[in-house]
Amino acid sequence: MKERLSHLSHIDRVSFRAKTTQSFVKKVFPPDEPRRYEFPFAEVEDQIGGRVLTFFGQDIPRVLAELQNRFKPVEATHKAPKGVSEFDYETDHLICVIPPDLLPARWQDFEDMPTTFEMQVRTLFMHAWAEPQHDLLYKGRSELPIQIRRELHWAAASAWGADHALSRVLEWVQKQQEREREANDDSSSP
Amino acid sequence: MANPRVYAYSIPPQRDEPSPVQPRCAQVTDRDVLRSIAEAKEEAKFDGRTLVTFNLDPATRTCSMREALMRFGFGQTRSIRAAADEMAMRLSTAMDQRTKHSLFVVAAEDGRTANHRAITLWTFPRDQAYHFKPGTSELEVELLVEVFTKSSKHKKAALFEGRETRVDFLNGRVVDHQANSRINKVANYWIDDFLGASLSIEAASASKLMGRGLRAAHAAARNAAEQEEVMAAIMTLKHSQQRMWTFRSFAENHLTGFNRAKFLEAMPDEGAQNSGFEFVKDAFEEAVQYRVFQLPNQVFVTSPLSEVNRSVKIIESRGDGQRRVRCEGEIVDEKIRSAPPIRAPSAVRRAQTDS
Repeated sequence: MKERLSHLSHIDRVSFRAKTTQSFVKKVFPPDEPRRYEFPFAEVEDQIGGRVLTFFGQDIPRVLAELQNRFKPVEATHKAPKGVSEFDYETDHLICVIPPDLLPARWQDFEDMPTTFEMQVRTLFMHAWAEPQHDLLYKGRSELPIQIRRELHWAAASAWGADHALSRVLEWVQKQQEREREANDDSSSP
Repeated sequence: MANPRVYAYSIPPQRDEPSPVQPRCAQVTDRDVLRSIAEAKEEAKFDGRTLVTFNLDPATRTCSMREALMRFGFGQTRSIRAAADEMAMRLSTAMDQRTKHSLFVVAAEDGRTANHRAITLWTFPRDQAYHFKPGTSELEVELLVEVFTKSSKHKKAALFEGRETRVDFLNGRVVDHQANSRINKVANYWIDDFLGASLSIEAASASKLMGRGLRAAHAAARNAAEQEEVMAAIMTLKHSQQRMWTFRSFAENHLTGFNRAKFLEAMPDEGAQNSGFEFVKDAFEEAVQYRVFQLPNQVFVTSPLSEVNRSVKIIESRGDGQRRVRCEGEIVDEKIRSAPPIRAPSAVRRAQTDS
């Protein structure tokens, strides 16, 4: 994956993880909720999860295009708040079929191995909000006091704002560089 | 076949027809025919065939061919026939006049477990055959025209199996001799248009993996002869017009013994080793661009493969068991480095040092 994305600029990191047993059990046997999976070892699609972090929001479509080209996702979802006044989790999620050339030896010897894996693509600021809030929420969010929930959404709004500010800075820098290139071209031409 | 449901269709090519007609159908219940279809599935040896993955619309996670297959495999009576009709029409409108009128057979049966179904799809091209039959007074020969050849090398097949879940029936295996041998990239109606699928092994990645596997075999080679065999295999790939390969067929046809084992060690799961992929020369050459010769006294000669035996000459041994490299040319650039191109002595050099 890293090699595939190595020609793209502004990639902070590409990481993968295998879902922990604890996390898997929690997903398959959620407390106070009906079970969703009849064949969990095959049906839980984020047992292998990867993530690409970019510097800027403008980099996300290029990463998605490269992943689309290589892995042909079966599902692509942009998770973001729907309302204009909402600030919350935002990430692009892809579900991809595990390419057979990346399967380790003897994978096929085992029954009920997953067929798919999940990729997430987000900016550093989206990640800076998403990871701590996921870690902090030991209970459902609706059980938090209103003031704490407002702090959480304020932090999400701040991350959103910082992302957009950095994007505007990038656009300004790129325009400046373009102007300088054009000026150099004009001065060097007869 | 356990719990079979089998339908057969006479499929004319209708890709260019403005108003294609629904192909004629027959439900197959004859035991001999069912047995022959089961035998054909065994003979196809799908486990060693090319893997394909359906092209789902990621926005909706849907693919009409996959859904038709699952309705055929798991649906109730009316939807089963409708699904089979849909697949037959889809095949007919994918075929143009270059493809012969064919028999399309779609067969579902119970799989490994109670919830598991296996669905095979077949096309058998139409042919003519002579039938030697007893007449009223003597033997007669007649020409049969509505004959579809079971053993034709132009037949195509596909197998999809699994349970009725969102993660099953995403991959399948295909038999398509035309796809396996295609020299040029020609649109393949069976995989691309009819199944709406792509080869599961992505071309550029697989081609690079070939290069890395050959580099690994070369690095592990125990003697000059093994190294030369790997080099010959590399040059074969560089100059070959063949576009479709499998890792295993390449290894079996171009590498022997130790080299083959080392190459296949670097390859993926055995199930994928027999799966066809399109070879991309540029991607392959990224992995095998340079040949590096190490000489005594830590002298290294690095050469693009294309220059070996041109401006860089390898001189075979004069009876002392050594090969020599000779090159001469104008220096256009030089660098100072902290480490040599090869960080550890090669296996061959170690063997020579040990002896």
